[in-house]
Amino acid sequence: MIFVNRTKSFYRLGVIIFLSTILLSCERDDICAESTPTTPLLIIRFYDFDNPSEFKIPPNLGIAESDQESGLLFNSDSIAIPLRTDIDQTSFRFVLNATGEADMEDISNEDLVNITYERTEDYVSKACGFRITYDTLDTSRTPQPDGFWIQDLIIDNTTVDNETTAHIRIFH
Amino acid sequence: MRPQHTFVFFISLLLGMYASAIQAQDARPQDTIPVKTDYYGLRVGIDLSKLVRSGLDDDYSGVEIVGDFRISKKYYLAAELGNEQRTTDLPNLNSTANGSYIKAGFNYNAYENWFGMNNLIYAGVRGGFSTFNQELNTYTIYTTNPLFGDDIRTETREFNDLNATWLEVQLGIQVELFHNLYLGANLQIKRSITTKQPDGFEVLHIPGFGKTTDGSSFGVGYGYTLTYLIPIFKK
Repeated sequence: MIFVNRTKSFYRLGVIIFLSTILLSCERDDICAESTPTTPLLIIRFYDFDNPSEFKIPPNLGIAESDQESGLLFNSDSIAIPLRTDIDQTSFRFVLNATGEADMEDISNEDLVNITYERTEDYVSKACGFRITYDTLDTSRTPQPDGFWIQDLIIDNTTVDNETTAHIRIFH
Repeated sequence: MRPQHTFVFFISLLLGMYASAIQAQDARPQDTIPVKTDYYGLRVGIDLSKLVRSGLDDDYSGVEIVGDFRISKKYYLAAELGNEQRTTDLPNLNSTANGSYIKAGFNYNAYENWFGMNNLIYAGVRGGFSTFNQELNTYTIYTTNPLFGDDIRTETREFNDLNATWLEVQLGIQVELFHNLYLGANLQIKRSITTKQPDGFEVLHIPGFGKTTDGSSFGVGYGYTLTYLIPIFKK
């Protein structure tokens, strides 16, 4: 009988090892957690030009790449926008009152803002892959027929590697 | 997970084979006086699971030679020598590790054989060393805002001269299928000791160790071996 039991122990061990290998084959999917710092967005805060210590919301601010029709719409005195990760500059159209209806007087005003920078590529993690951080941030504004609605623009942080504080202040 | 079902089928088949082989041994007439013979020799073979996986999984190819040498009644010197290529495909990056490894240590056979049988239920320890390269095939610049679309880089980047060491505990069985031919199965629990990380990237897979896990230095593995015992002397 002992002999039979010993044979069974082999069989049992075999089954245990076999089941364990099935468990080992299951792989968990790696998903990039939202809290992981990846490519940072550019943070812009809007102030009142006449009263520079007060925030001022630019109403229906539409932001798109200069050669694109569609973009992002904001109604806030603090916005976060992405910068291009494949080239060293991003040209934006900053359109005030971007949602002006057709039968109303067109009150929109468009400013072109060109942002230049240097890029650095970093490895983040298995789940998130790589990210870009930006350095030596600079801006230039091109006049449009309707004039500037942005009266002043100040760069507070020339390095964009986090989203904790504003990088640019705009006065209007 | 896709090729795993087929893989599982093959493994079940193999397990069935050796289970019936044991039963065949049970049925042996026991009217002769049993002569207890201990075989001492070199047992060499291959890891079947790596061969099967190489055939079924496009992202994997590997071969492993296994061997052990009995040095006393209970102890065996044991080693594995292998080469592995493994592609890790994740949502934001795709990378291929390619390299060789050696694992060396000993096994302790806890099984008391009867009547000239030479089966093993063993526990073993190994030190592992791997030298490998890692190629980054494609990767994504991860952004939380999709305004500009995905920025996917496809220029291959090579990270050479990487290496790793680890300690491994093995639990396994080896059953004599036919005269001197053994089928084995084992589980491996590994703990990473050192890993040389590349600049600007991370080791995702270590040949012989397996995939690395964030925040954990442990790894797991398994093997199904087919080995042949070259008897050198009997006791």
